[in-house]
Amino acid sequence: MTTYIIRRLLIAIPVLLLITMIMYGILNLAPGEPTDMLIGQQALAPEEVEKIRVRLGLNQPVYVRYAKWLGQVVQGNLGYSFMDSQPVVNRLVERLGPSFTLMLFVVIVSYTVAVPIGVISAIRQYSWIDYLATALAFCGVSFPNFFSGLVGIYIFSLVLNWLPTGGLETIGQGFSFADRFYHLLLPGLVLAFREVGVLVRYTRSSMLDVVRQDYIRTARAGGLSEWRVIFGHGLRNALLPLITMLGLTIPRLFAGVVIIEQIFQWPGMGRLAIEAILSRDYPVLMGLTLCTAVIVLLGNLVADILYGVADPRIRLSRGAK
Amino acid sequence: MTPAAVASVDQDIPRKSFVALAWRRFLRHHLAIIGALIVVVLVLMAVLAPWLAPRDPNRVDIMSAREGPSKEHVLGCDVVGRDVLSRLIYGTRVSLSVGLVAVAIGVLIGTLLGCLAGYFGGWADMIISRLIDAVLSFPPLMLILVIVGLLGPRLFNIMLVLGLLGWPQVARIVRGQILAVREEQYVLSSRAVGAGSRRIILTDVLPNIMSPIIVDSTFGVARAILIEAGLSFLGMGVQPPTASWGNMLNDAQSLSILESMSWMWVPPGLMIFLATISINFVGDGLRDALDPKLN
Amino acid sequence: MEPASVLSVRGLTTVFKTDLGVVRAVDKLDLEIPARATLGIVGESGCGKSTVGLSIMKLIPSPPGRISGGEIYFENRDLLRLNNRAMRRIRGRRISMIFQEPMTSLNPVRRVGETIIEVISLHYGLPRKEARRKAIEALESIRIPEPEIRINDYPHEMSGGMRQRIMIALAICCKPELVIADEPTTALDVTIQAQILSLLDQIQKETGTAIVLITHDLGVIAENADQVAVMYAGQLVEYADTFSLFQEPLHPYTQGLMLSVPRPGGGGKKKHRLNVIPGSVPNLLRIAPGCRFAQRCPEAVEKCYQKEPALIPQSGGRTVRCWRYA
Repeated sequence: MTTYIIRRLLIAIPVLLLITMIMYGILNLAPGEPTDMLIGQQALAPEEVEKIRVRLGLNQPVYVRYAKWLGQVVQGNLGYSFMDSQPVVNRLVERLGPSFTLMLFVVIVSYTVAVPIGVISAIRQYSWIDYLATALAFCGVSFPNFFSGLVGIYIFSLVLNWLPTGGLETIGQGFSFADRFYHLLLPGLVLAFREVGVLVRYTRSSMLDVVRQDYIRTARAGGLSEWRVIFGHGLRNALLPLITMLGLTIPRLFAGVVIIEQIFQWPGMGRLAIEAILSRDYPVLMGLTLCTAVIVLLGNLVADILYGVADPRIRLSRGAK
Repeated sequence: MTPAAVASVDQDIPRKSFVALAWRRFLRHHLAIIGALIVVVLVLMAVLAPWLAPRDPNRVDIMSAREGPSKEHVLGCDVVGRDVLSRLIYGTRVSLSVGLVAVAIGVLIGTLLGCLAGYFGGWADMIISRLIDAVLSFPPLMLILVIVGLLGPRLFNIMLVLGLLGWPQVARIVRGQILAVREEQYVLSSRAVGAGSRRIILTDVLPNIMSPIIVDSTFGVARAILIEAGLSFLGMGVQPPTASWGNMLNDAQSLSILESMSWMWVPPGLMIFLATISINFVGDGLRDALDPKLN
Repeated sequence: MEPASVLSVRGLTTVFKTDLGVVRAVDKLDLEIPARATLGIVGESGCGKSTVGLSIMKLIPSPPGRISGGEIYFENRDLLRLNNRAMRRIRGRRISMIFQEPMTSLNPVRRVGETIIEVISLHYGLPRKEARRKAIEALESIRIPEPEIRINDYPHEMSGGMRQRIMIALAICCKPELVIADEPTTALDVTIQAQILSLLDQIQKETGTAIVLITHDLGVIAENADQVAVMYAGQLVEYADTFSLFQEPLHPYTQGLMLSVPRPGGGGKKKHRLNVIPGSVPNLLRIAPGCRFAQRCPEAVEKCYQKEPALIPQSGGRTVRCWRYA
């Protein structure tokens, strides 16, 4: 088991490096430079600009800068933001919390809602529940999340006035769980809507696959009741792919989070990304890339480990994958 | 009945080709049919836009700014007085073209790299597989935002980036199939002549990758439409004055517009939804038709 | 004199809906399954023999398939009229089934003994410990070494032969009256085949269970069956005790089958070519009138194409569906 983990970690590292290299390369291929912003804003003289360039190390070739960046990263230093000269690490840390809370909420809600619906949908195939669930799933997958966000704000904030239109908490009020929760609800549910759509279909198809297997027929041949056959024998097998799905959910959520955080003024990593792109804050962007890539790869690794634990075929075979 | 007559009765049973069977299965999917019809309507809308749109979609008319639906402007006007309905119709062009081109790019690159990885194996395979992993691990929107943000929000850039994000899935399919066929080649006798083996790969690999690629591409078009809309919404996609359903929604970020001028943002949002869901229905129908598991 | 029957099939018809039409996999089948003996059902792929077994257990997958007619009498009750609850009490307890693919027929995420314990616990109403003990007994009777350890293994940790033994253990753990074995050895090595078959034979001697052995392999029939039912295109075409069938096959199809078995060394000085029944199984979507085998039958006459023969009783309890014996 440990060899499996170590092997996966070892594979993950080149992938990580590749991602950061690609990102670094892209950022540097772009026309224009961070200093352009400064020229525009502060109308500095060329020598001043040159001094800043040297200070920021922008006069060296790409691979040198990449190597230097990498060297710094390994020592734990992610550089300083071009925007406000704060350490990148700080910016990331302060934004990580809100994004993480949002994503955790979405994962919990969507799995809790989607899995039962998917299972029932598969068992009662072609019934009205199945059609309803499939329709719901299709809607969830096809609605652009920013549109759902806008609709959500319209209905629940503006018309019904039940929930706030955005932000992490009500300004001026002290820290309160209820307040925070109200603010979390709308963006979280909007994101969850799409996730539920994806998961319902996935669960349904996994369950349908399982129900067709030979060992289900064996269980029935033993005289077990339909309930026991499906839930006792079938469900556990059907849930296995969902664990892998968790690994795929994380990158998807990151994408969704970017837009949702923008609409709901949620101070998370998604908004940070947009801010950094608009101001060409390369250190922050590299830091973000690294951070999200690490989270995604870790998430996949954890999902694979959990899968290995849950599936005895992998858990008990020596020299796994 | 004489034996000869009996024999011919048996021959009467029609043999249906794969395509015919797939078509029959597709037709049983009511949702897929509806989706297909809607897609046809949308394509017609895109192609016939200049004749369908009541007004010039880019014509600014400050006098009519923010006006609601009226006889002259069936769906009202946006913040600078452009006719919403016309923009809606022209927006179809943007969305559909982005979807199709992005997917085409993805299929092209994916097939190429998948072939290289599968055919040559070894280093090529390793590098390309790592590349696939890398691209798939990337939060897609970030990559898009960065590239588009830096290269400039031109339509082609968006299509290119989406294609670059979509190729790994195609590459995997192609690579997998080539590897599977190669396994068989080793089992087959070495009479498989050099040039012959290339042809065999074409006849063995090609039909088997067609189905999954078609299905993946269909869903890819829907994904591309959603992403383009999102980008345009954020202001990083198609720029005004060109009408895109996404950038039409951009105005709704202001709460006042959101609250009281729903004609500006609800129709484009619904159009995105409609286009996406129809394509998804078609994709679902295609998947069941082309890959029959007794569902 | 006919042996007493443990189960009687009367006029069973099972159909399947396919993309191209409705297929009658089993067509008005009449069959008597003798008690305390092994009945072999033999026929080529697609003749409906597996469907018969599944129909008796009422395990026909219900969207495409359906039992559309007939009666199946077991202990004076028609199984086809029973509701689900009653049928479940019979499955696994009075009638059980062994399937063809031991690789996929056991739940990969469950320990091998789990399902056996579950079934025993259900049918006997025993608490878990008791049920576990009985499960170990069942494994012992299957000649599985170290049953208390093996019972905790997972299916992927066992060989194909072992897994099939587990399937058998599952089938006999509640001492049923009838065990239906659907091609139990087809997916196994020849050497393992022999072991499994002799195991089944032993079980029958020890417990008196009736066995239905479904196979396409005449060799298996010759070795293990007491009575044989030959099926073709969804129908029963010949029924006899094994010895008589092999000594003197009546139905032209049976004769063809016998001749198709390759014999090493030929029969004496002459070498023969492998005999093959020309033609192929008729398309079950459009069944022509007359005998279903007529097209491929070397002895067919005009009548054979016009009217379908019924099962005609012969001496010694045999029946054959052929106009030549009317």
